[in-house]
Amino acid sequence: MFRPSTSQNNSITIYIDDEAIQAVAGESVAAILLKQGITAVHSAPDKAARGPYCMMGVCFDCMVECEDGRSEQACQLYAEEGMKVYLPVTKQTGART
Amino acid sequence: MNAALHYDLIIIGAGPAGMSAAIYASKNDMTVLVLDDQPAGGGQVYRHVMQNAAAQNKAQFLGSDYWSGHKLADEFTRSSASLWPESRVWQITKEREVFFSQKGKAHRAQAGAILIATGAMERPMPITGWTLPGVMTIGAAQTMLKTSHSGVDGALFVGSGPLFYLTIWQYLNAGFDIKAVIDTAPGKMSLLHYFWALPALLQPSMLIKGLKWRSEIRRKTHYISGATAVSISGDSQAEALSFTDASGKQHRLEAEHIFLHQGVVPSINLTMATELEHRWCPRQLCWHPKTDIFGESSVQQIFVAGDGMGIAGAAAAISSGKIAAMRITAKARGTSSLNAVFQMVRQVQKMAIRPFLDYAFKPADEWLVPHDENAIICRCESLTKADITKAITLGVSGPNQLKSFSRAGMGRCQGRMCGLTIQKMITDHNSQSDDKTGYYRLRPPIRPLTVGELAALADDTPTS
Amino acid sequence: MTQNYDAIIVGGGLIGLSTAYGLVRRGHSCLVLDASDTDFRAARGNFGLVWVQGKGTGFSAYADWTMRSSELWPELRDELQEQNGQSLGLEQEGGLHICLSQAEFDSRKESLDLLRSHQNGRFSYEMLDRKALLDMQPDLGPDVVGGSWCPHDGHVNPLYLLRSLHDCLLKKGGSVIVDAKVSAITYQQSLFDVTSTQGRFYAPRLILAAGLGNRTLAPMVGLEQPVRPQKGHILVTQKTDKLIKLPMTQLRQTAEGSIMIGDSKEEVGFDISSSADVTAQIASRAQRTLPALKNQHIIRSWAALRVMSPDGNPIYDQSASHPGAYAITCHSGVTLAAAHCFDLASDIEAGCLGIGLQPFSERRFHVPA
Repeated sequence: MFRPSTSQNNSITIYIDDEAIQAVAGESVAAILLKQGITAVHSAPDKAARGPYCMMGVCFDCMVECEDGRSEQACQLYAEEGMKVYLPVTKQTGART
Repeated sequence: MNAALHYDLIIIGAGPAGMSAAIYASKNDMTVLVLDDQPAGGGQVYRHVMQNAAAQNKAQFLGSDYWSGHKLADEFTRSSASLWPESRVWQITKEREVFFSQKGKAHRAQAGAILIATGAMERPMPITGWTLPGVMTIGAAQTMLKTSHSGVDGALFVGSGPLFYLTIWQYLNAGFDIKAVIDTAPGKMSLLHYFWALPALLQPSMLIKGLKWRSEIRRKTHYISGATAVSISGDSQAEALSFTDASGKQHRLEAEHIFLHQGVVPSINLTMATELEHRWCPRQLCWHPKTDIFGESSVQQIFVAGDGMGIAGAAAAISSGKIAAMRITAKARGTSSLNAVFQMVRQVQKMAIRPFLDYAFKPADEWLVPHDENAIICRCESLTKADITKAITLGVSGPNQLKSFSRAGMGRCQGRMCGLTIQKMITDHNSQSDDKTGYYRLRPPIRPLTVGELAALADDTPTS
Repeated sequence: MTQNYDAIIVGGGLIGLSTAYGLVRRGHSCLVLDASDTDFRAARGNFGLVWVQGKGTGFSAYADWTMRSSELWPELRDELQEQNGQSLGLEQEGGLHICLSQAEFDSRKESLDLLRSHQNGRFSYEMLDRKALLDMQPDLGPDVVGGSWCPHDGHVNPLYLLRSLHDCLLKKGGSVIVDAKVSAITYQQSLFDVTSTQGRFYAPRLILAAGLGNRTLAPMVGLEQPVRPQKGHILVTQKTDKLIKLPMTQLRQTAEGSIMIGDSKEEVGFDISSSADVTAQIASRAQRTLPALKNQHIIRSWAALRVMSPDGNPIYDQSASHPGAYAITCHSGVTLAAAHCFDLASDIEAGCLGIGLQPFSERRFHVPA
């Protein structure tokens, strides 16, 4: 699991599949997921799990769902207080429910 | 339509090239808009440098090259250029209209000149298992260091190239345990390498730095060179890496996190979707937009600078951004571009090491097209090498017909992850040149935007 | 000079492939000469409707031909799927045309009534008010006043169709040569001599199905094909849950879940660049039709050139000066694929276009008004 090498200012709370997580404001959701040990985020057409790969917006393998139903690249989505995201892979496999 | 935004210069990308162009142009009284994906300037190479500089923990482990970007980013931040952060440019027209979305709202802006400074992305390395969760690029591992000061213990690093060694060196500095480094570069230098090492001597500090990283990595990690036949196995997460070393011995190493790298290539989705002309660069095995010496593309007043015009590194990017800005400013003012020519002389020196690096780390064929028929090539549509081969053997003249036959390149990433692989497969199958094969015909929007965002642009337009 | 093939088909799009496949399945040897990767290629920009309603208003032969093809489609589907196992995703359970104003509704009704009166009742449709429409397609936007429903309509995956035709053509012994640009056609002793960038080929029958390329090719065999390009834009969204029950003239959901949003009509010549103003209009209309589309990502768009004749209807011609030569253009390569494969190929085998195709001759444009 990704771990920080410096002390972190986890000043905000975001919700991943409704589970509260302390996070650094402005950090990308993909980075937050990786630090939680979550590497599988959505499912490919062949139903295989996929997760953050490039962390710079080119691979589109870290798609998450936002509260309003939009899909976003987790690596291009920056955490704000109270943000809620849902992992499409959970819907497919029921892994985190 | 939103109150028409109009700027003398619109720069896409706030990396080294974009920032340096913005600084020069804004100093010379040009109105400048800079659009970037990220919350602040820096690009991938100096990513998060402003935030890191302001933070308590200085992340010194990133090294002096990274921190040298702070001065540039700081000067950029204090310049009169306006940065619209978290903005995704999805279309540019030849009439220099720029369309972009910021936080769910689409905007349009008109520019006198456009500078595309969208940099590079990592070359796809389609090996068996590269789609498994836990497998990421070296660049992704480095981004985690830069933005979150985070890494994993016990990871495997597979690949080669300057960014590969730098990131491993930073990983060691930050105090993470590395399980093994599996170098895919050929173990021995050839005559060609020694030849191109000569101009590289013009940049001795770069050479020395590279050698230092490599020797430190050899000393401090379980280092295996000359690896071939690399594959990753796992069920729903990376579990193990298998490969053959230079002596022919087979290895299997267990790891949940594996980082891959085979060099970087220009990000061409925006330049291609804008229908700029490109040429295939056989030395770097990627497409370069065709430009004049100042970076002006085949479309007047649309310029390209930095790694997006061909891989040359951050120092050269800073210089090429400035050259483009000098030329754009001179054209706007009707003055001489002589200063840009002088700047070019310094540019050449900053690129001296590049041919050596290109030859030393040129990816072998097996990293471009996998041997394994079951390896995935198009990640978005989950298409394997066998799927693509089947479509190619129907008889295709290029990637666009292949796309209609196989759906490859039709997913969200718009071919970024499969384009070069598919091009090579067609080139090899048809025994033709890469220029003949060509690339996907890319079209805007080059970044997904919602139907609602796009529709709002129409609703804002007064009906005539 | 030796005969290489029974027929040469110039053009590897939907018309060329479906006609060639139709000939090959009847036992004729065929060669398809296909264009280069970056040519205009209307077949790759097809929306995928197998569509009857609205086709052939004021040109009843076209309405008949369209209906005939729609009826033959299940047979084509079964035959292709049986050979290569690839599902074409054909659904023919009716289709809708959505009207966003009363004026649109009234004009739609007028044009479909005219069509039905020419069809002796073979063509059926119903105008539906908003309430009736909502029973068929829930979640329509407040601007939707009503629309027309036609039970003959449907849709198919146009790229799977293209690939299946190509694949089945090869399986039955047909040949395709890509990157073959035709520069000259001569005719001697009942044999066509076709010079292309990939070599010279000979056959007693020649079918020109090169879309806009037919403008220059047709005169080589004594025919005229006065077609022009008309640009059409299409947007494609991410794959999503089932939002659209029946295909609509400008909106359909594929079997995989992507939503296709079409399509504009622009007279801009040989230009396939994307215009944000046009795509924004398309998106706006789609969102007014189905507000749930608002948050769907557009992941792909493309523009292609429709092949339009002066009156918008297809042209089928056979040459009097060069017997054995045919020229065909239309912009409904998907809908008409079944008719091309079965009926047209049979006519070409017989050496004469059927009575139903006679009205489609280019000569109709020479009749004094």
